[in-house]
Amino acid sequence: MRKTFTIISTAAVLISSCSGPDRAFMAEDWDRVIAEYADDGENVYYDRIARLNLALAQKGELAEKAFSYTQAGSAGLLPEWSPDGENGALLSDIYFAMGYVSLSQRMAFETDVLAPEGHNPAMLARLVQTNLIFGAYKVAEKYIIELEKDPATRAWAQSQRRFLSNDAAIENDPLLSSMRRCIPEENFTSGELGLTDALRAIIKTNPKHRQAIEYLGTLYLLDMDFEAFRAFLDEFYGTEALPELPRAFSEAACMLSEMEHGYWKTVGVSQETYRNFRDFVKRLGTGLSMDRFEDTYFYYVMRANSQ
Amino acid sequence: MKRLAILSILIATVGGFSSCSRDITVTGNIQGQPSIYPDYCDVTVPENIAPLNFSYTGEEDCALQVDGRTIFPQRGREFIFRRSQWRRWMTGDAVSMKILVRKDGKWMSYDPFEIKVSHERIDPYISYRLIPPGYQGWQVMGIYQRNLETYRQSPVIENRMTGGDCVNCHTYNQRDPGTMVFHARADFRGTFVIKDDAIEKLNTKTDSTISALVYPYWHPEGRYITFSTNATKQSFFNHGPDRIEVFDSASDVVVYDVEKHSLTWSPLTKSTEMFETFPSFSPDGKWLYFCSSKAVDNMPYNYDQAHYGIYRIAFNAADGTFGDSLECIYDAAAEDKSASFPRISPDGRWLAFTRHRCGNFSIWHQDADIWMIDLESGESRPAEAMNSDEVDSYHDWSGDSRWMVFSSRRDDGLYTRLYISHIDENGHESKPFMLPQKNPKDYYKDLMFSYNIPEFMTGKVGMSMHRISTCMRKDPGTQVTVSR
Repeated sequence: MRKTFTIISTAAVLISSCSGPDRAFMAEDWDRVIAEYADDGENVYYDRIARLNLALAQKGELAEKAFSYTQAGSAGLLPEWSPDGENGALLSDIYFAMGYVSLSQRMAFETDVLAPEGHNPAMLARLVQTNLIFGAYKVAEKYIIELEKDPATRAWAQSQRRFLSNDAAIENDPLLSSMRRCIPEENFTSGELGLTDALRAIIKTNPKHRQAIEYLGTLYLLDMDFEAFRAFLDEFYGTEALPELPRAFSEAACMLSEMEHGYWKTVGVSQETYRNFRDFVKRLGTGLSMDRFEDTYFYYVMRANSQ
Repeated sequence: MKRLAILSILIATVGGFSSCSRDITVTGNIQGQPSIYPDYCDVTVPENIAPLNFSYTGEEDCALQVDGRTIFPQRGREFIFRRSQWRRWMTGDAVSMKILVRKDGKWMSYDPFEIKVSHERIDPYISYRLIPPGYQGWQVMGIYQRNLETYRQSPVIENRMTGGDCVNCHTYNQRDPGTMVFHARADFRGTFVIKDDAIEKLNTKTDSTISALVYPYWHPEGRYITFSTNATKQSFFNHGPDRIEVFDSASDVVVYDVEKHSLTWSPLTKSTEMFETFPSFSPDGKWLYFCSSKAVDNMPYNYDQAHYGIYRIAFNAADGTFGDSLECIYDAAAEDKSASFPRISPDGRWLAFTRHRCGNFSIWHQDADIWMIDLESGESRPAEAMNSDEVDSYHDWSGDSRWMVFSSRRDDGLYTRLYISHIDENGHESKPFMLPQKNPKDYYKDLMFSYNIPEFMTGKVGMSMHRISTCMRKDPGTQVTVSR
């Protein structure tokens, strides 16, 4: 698995008012977010699952470990926005991780406008970042000025001034340059393409942006859209974006082999993974324990179909 | 102690007036005009405008020479003018100003610039909405009125009075602050008509119309208001200066009879084959102008196929009837463009509109510019002196047809600000000046709201915000009917 770098970076100074899981999330302490994730087994909290999945994505482990946790469909990957502003910041973070800069900016703006305290510093920081990425330097400076008013965010805001009207500085910044490379040359609206096609465009534009391909493939898997997942593999497997399949994708490829004999071999799935899948199939309907498969994608499908 | 306080006040007062008799010797020139904010170099202003305070944006120490007198800045580089001094300057035809800067211990002079003075006075008030330039969510907003002769701004209605409703689409009949209409959305939604010192709430969705009433414009006689009804959605671009496309998948134009509480329309303003929107009446009330495009299906995929031209249809205010044909005033589709917001000057000579690539929501089209049509010759042209590389959009004429206020995103590319331009008798516009503020640099940098729908007013709205909000909260509203 290739190593990915953290791409949120809205500055640790913004976390001082947070506590518990929120604090770990704001600090981008993804290991801690994952460690502190608590599945109560009964209630489905989409925002909580989405935070876990975001943490996994930021570590480059979404398509490897997502099904080690109880998942709840694609709404646990990208929850619906509640316009009261409660999960807007999370959505901005998720879109940012995906490389979908414009929708990240949109959610940051909505969340800041709806902030009960007047402003949401983390979202103002996101507005700085997204406007820098788009080269909208004057608007970025406006938000920098706002953040400079608060001692807690001043240092971070001042550190962003070096990017104003300085494309070379942005190119030299790992985060901003990577995000800038995620912007497809072709312009389209969110309504025209929808999320999955937009992610495909981002992947094609910046195949090194690992989070985009992991989000897209996992989205198909969570919705159990095998036809789309097969097309996804046809398009991206073996390319720079997806040179080898992570675990969940491999397990899904095994399931595709039920319809197309031997398919798993064509996409590099290991013998061990396929053998595990066959063991799983053999046990279906036998009453034998399936516990050892709980962290597999096929178990997720079985459970979803039985509900 | 008391003497010390008086002395402090005197010092502050002298500083506050930012003038000083100290002479400085200029030893050289710097070619070109200085960089000042707002850019007031060579603008034309009405004699009754509030002082155009500004800042020098360079790093050096600076001073200003006006009529041979040297003025020193406040707080670094801000030039704040005393009102009486400004009024004296406004009695002439122009004020010549020269920025001096100190470089290496020597004072240098930039080329002078002028603030030209027009003695065609401007309407004393404008009204606008202040709202974050957002998409779906809102929290704080309001409709405000601003005295152009001072810096005083006061609310007409703020949504804090009504639990955070969205208030929008305000307009006044012939700039009369006593005849107004606006909409509210959310808990206390409805259309509110203020007329003859009374306010009434209207529930305007009917079974025969696409939506509740949207973009309003008064008939000059005050009995009718034309509106559009629109099925509007929005979609976000993945990049580019146009962050969002706001589009209609259906729209019509209707006329509301204030006395009968009823709607009427012509088949030519409410066609399924066409989108019709942004209506306005001619100053003589005989024509209803609006924008119209061939209906486009499969939105938002085909959003760029919608090209709105400007049309008009005869309107008879005596009986509320329409003519039987449409006349195309500006065929934007022939130029692969779109036109929005037709607004005719009160003298009937000029039609100003916003021209942009496609669609109808020009505020999100960076290419949007203001254009003029000479209604005598039919010729159209861009109002070049007014336009910028950023969005230049919603506009309104002053009562004497000599001034235009319009909104523009030229300041930072996103937050809409207001600009005012002089229009001479031949329709030539002057370089616009940004709406003056007491401390414009700080004010505009700090303001996280956009100015929206600027309209001139002859005075201040007389009805109190309390009375308006009481109607909004308590009046169940009158259901508008259809009368055809």
